[in-house]
Amino acid sequence: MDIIKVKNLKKEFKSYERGAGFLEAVKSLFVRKIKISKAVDDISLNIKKGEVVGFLGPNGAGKSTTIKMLSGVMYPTSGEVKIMGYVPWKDRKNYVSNIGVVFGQKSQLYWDLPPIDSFYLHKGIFSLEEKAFKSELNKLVKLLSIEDIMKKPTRQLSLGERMRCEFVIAMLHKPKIVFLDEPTIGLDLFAKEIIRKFIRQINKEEGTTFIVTSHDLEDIEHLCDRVIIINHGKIVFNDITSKLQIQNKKYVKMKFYDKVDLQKLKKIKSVKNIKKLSEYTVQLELDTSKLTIAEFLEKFSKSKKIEDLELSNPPITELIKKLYE
Amino acid sequence: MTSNFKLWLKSAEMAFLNRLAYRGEFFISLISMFVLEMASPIIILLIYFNTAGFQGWTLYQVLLLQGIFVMVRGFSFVTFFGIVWNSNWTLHKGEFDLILLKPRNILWMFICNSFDAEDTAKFIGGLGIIIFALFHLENITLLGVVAGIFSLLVGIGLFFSLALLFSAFIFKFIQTWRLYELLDILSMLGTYPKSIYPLLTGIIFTIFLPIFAVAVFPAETILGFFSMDILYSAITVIILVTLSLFIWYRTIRNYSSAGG
Repeated sequence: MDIIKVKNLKKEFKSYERGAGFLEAVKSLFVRKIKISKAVDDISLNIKKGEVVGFLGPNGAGKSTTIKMLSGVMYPTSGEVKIMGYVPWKDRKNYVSNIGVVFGQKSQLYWDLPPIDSFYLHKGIFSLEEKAFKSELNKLVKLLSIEDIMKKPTRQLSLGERMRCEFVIAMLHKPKIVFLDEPTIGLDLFAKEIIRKFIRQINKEEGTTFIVTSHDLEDIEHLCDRVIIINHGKIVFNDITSKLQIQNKKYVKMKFYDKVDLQKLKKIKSVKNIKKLSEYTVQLELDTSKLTIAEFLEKFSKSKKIEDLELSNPPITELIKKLYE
Repeated sequence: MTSNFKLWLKSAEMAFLNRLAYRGEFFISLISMFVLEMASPIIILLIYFNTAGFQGWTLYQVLLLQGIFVMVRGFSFVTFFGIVWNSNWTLHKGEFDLILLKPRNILWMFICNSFDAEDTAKFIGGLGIIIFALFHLENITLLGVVAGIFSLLVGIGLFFSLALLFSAFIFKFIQTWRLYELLDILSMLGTYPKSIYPLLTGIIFTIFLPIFAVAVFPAETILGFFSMDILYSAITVIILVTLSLFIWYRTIRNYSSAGG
């Protein structure tokens, strides 16, 4: 069942331009040149209940603007959005009761007070019942291991500890959809793993839908069932995460008993970017749409005895770079 | 309604807790605020003692007027005027989105987030002066006090509409502090009895920019001087509040939140 339906969503921003220097500044007091920029340009997408979807895109691609419209904090220029039956910017108050948001770079915690005070303020804002609040808080405190830190002033906590508390605030009212805007930015490996484990567990146990924007591809690989890539305000990729890997390309690393014969390798048409790593080791890219791995090995191992072979997929970054271009 | 009031109380508690995190700074700010606000009544008293005074006003009547002015300002600054600084703060930090993500009326969230613990010194100081003056005044009637409280609401309404307009201007133009300074100075003119002003100025400050509603009319009403002027001011304030609410919500509607 689609929990999020987006159709032909557009957002345009009006900005003013002026040239450099004092005269231009004075001129701009009276006459200003208006520039209209399309931040989101006619995107359509559907997201199912319980999915974990990653939003990727370079800076200024339009992903944060999309997330802002989906979370109800920004009006679109045109287009339709229905989330859990709500139009986010029209039914904002009812809608936001059902969503949670974590901004990696904005905090919902009071800097000088312990997070527990912010949790109680959240209880007041969302009018949560005492019993339900305490039960949910206890659960989240255990899952995120924050027993010892939630009573210390926020300013004394590490970034990882603060982020765990931000997740508690986002989840206390048991949202059905959670928007995560760069949730692991600046975190160390240990803190990232705690956050990822938490997201996976909540998604599995409660069927919560997560929408994640991140520049960290590990977040996407570890968390997301599906990836949506936005560039210049348009969707350039929308498919399951595994499809993000280039299917018709493999990296092949081979170690031979004899010295490497580069000339022979270069003659094979479907082989590219040959790199000699040592006298006996070589790495290359194989276009598997033209020559399968079995065919390649059969062709090559007849003349050269292979001691070791390592096959790998190209990293996601490679495809992302291509899509960004 | 109860839920909104509970939230306001919780926010007020948070504001106090937040300021008490640095106790030294809190008490210094509290005392400074008190001293600053007391400067105005002291200057008025100096004028009173060193000149012919204010026509038709005794010392304690002038004190009552001063106390009301300080208290109304204090009440407004404690409870809602902080939306002006809060608008500026949330816009600069790009945190306006966080307010929109709460299932509450946006203006109420702004008001709750704007509780200013330090300004309680103004409110308490003003209240103290009023009580002190009332003890020395005769012929104060219950009807006068009730009507005076109604008049106070008009003054508070004026500050409320000004706060909304400043907040909207900040959303629209980002920095409008000079405008605030101008109106702050203008509001100070409301600390003097109406009798010192020429007729035309009196009409302007009654109907068009009803700064007399802040302290002059409430003081007159408490003292038993009833006039239609407070009603004219009340009508203007009702129009101003309605208009400023419309402008505020319209500005918020058109605001494009900080990117990133």
